[in-house]
Amino acid sequence: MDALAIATMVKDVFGGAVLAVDQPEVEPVAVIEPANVAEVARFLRETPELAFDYLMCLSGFDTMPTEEDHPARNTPEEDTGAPSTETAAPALGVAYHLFSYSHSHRFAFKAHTPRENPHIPSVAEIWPAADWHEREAFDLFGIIFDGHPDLRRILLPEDWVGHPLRKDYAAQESYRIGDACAQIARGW
Amino acid sequence: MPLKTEEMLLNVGPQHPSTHGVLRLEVTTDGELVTSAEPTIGYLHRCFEKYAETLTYQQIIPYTDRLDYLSSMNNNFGFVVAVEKLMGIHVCERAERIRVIMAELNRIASHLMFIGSFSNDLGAMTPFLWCFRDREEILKIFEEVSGARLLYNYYRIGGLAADLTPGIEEKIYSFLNQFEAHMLELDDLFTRNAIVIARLKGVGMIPREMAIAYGLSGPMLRASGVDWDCRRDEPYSIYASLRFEVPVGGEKLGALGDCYARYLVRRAEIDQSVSLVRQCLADIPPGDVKEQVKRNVRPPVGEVYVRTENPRGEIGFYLRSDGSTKPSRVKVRAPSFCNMSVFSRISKDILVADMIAILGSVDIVLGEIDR
Repeated sequence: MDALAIATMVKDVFGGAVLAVDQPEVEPVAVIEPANVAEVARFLRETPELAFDYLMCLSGFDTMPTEEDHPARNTPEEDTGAPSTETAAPALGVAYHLFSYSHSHRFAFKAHTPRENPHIPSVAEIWPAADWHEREAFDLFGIIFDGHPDLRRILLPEDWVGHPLRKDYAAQESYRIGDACAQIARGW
Repeated sequence: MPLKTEEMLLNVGPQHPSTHGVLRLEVTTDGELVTSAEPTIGYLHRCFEKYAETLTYQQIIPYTDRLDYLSSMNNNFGFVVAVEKLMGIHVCERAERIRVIMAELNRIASHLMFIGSFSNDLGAMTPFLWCFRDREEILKIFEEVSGARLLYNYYRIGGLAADLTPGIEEKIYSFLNQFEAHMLELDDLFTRNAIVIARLKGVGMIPREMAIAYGLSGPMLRASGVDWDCRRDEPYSIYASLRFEVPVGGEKLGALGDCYARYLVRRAEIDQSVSLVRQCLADIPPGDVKEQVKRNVRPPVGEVYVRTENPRGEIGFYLRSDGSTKPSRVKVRAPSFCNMSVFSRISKDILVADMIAILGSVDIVLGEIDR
């Protein structure tokens, strides 16, 4: 099934939960209301004519523009894709790329969530592959996946402060320096 | 008097030969039995994805070398295919053929590394030396073409960094001839070895449904009986015009998705790669491989997810462009990352020695797990 047809099918069932379909000509990506992510995922997984049994990738992203680079943007004529429906206020987001082995078709959707207190329902129960991917997005973006069985950092140390892939992340000057000083003060 | 037993927590790694890098396994053992094995990753994390946001697209290519450092050519390949899709660039036939030759040679080298280290994990030293002897010949070819032995930085968006050197075709042919004979010897020594089969049969079985649910890919997935290969079923580059078979665990190659099936699938893929290299070598058209290469590319606003077939499975690049010369987001879906996530699920109530065999059969590279 064609990705646009799948997007229409999801829209028929969930109505207003599908906010838009981005770049329909290049690679369609449906934009979903964050609160409905788990229901939409379950629908895509369990409807027999869709049967998306394989989560190819789950990626966090940040829509805040990178600061220094922006005078170098393309002119609008050069852009081939449709105008992006990226939310105006910078937000965090999660993109899901799915594939079905029984029908050999793929589909992508994404959801945006505010930078302050970002929450998205977990899909780890629907696709076990999402377990580590969601931990990674939590680790590097600070997105909280509600209902995840074991949401803790995966790549960075447990006591790391901040979420480095956020565009406004300020690198730490030192790591555990406070501990080391305290230890020196105690005479090791 | 009943003997009092209690479980013991055993730390395997982060510095341990069988973990193939800096992986730590927190293993709970009850005598010789593993009751649970929980991997801890991240020791090699170097924030590739954050760094990529500060680099131009061409500058990112050498960093992709360092993801799965045993198959750098394939990583380069995946990344340039993703950017070319984002920009709608078509690359000349000559460049595509050379790309496939290098990617398939690298697949052979990577699978040789797998067979070598896997047999070493099982306690057999000879296959390791034999495999490294042949891998060395491939590295010499790569060195002549790209100037490097491990991290090649050879592909470019729109083409290649350099054309083939004169006379390299003959060197590749003579390597292939000699290599095929060596592989037959390896089959006698290892593939059909009764001890190896007894050691691997039925160990670490992954059923088809579990393989799909955990997002496994590549030889791990095919060993579990899923007939899927990106090169054939979602063709990129010139794979659609080449003839090759996709080895799948099943009637011929160990039915179960066990360690032996995973070995056999990779062993059979080596033969297919040899055939692919021969097909491409037979007919390299003239052309300028650097014709389309630009120093700075500026893709239009948009996002793509592109997957290609690496030796370890599907490497996926999720690229978001904001229309500038630097990407706004590069997410790498590393095959080893997903393949490793199933490990703790299948490492329950097994022998400690079998756990090492399972880990070897997953064929992880920590460089791409931790990124």
